[in-house]
Amino acid sequence: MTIVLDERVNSASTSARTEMNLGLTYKSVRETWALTLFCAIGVLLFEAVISYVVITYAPRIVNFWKSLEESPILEMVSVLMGVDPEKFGGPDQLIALAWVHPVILATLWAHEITFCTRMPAGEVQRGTSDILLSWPVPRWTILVSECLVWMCSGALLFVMVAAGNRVGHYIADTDSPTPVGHILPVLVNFFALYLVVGGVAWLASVLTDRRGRAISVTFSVVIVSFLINFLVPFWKPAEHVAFLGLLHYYQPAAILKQGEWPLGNIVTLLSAGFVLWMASLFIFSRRNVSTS
Amino acid sequence: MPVIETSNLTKFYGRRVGVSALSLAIPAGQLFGFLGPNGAGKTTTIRLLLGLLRANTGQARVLGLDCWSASHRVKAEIGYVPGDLRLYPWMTLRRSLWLVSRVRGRDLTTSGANLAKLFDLEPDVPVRKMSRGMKQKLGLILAMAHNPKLLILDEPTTALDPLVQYELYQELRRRAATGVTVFFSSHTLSEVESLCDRVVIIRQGVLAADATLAELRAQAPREVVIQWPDQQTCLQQPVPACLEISAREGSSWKASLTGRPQELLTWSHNRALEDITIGAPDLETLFRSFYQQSE
Repeated sequence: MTIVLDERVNSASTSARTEMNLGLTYKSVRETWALTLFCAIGVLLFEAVISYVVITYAPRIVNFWKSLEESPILEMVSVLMGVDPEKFGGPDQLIALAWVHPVILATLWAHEITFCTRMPAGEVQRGTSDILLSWPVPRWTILVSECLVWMCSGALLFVMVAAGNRVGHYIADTDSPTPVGHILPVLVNFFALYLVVGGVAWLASVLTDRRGRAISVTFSVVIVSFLINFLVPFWKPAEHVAFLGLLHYYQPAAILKQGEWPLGNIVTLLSAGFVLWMASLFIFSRRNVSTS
Repeated sequence: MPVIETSNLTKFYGRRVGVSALSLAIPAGQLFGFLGPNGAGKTTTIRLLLGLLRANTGQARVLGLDCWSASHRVKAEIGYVPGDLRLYPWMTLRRSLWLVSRVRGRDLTTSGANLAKLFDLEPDVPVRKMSRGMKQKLGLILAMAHNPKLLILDEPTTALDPLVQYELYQELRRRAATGVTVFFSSHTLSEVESLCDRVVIIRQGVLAADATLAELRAQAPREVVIQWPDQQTCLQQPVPACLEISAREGSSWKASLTGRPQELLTWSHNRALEDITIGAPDLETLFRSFYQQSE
């Protein structure tokens, strides 16, 4: 009797396992499509505009920077882009400005922090985790399904950033647009950076039952990380912790100037993202979940 | 093999006791009432059975499977309605049945539609526009559509109107008759009394009573009203050991029967009584006494 009953339970859960991703993926897409669409349109439009402006007004921008000389603003731009703006060869390198513009960074971070803190922190907080976790699906599958949708949404956003960049080039009617072969390493490096921030957000989300707390922690980590990068040029001791700054591993102007894949940075970022994500998976699979 | 089996199940929240050394064995087909005041440990027990919480010590098994390590396999055979039911605002009955069908790996649209007909729920109203009662109906449909072997219902009749409550009780009785076990958690005695075969009372995380309703009724006090011919007789009569007088009003006694009814009938045999009324067993008082022992 025991064996028959257990076999029946096993077969039911196995059949559930074969199709469950579809249901969970649908749920995840259903809850996030509006956010992703909004951000995708936003980054497409902004990237198109900023690319157009940078290409069209490149000489003026370079002259303006040269006039700043020792200004802290120049140092900050240098940190953002990964190379001294005065040493730019021309618009094809200056276009890196469009890849690190704070509006683009803020939109992408906002998207993933919102996405990654929905589950489990958001679900526990609003009480829907009781329903979600009563389904016959292992917890790791829930997190994997969520992460797959997140990565696909992120990839879509990066495609839109690249598309916006192309649109900017097209409107500016430039004779020598940045080759796709030069843009690809920047995009991959940027996406690896996106995965690390997402990893921090997942980890914060599985460690707390309050979404606001998860958002605050992730936001603080990102801000502190940026501050480290911006402090380095002005405060020598900060050089010892420069490796903790996210922008240390993402320098688009340098990539465009050298035309090489930043493999070291990409591997470092992907490794960090993987470790953070695995830690999230481990904790979520073992933690107590209580909505009350 | 019991459908639910717990042995010395213990869960602490820091220093606070959730449940302590809880041992239960619930066979298939039983309508099982799980009673206790707020904060007694009912929901903690349910969360342990569902693998949402990990026990500090002891073990919980459902259908022979460990509730923590084989949680997702256990949940394939469980239908659960949380006490504080929260559903996704975008869900409608139709969408949720589609979704849960994909998650559970079997088509639930037909059984879900039948339950929707039973509970009178429209298929295309989103949760954000539903009343509390409608949400509760949707929760019940989602818990029952896959015909689980075990139904865990945490205060499921909250916000349901009496007609739907009646339909729910009928459906639960029908399912129990086919071997489905119903774990019915509540802090309201009346609904447990009208539905369940067996009752467990938990207080401060500890098992206070585990008995069938017949056994509890035998323990429950009964209210007795004795009418004497006049006030003087009323005052002169000695009180028998099986009665505890709660009030003397005019020429009548109001009392609780503390002994067996036969004792009272024997005592009353040669008395000049006008009338005697022995009430039904008062389970409310009995349950209150269980609850109050903890305070």
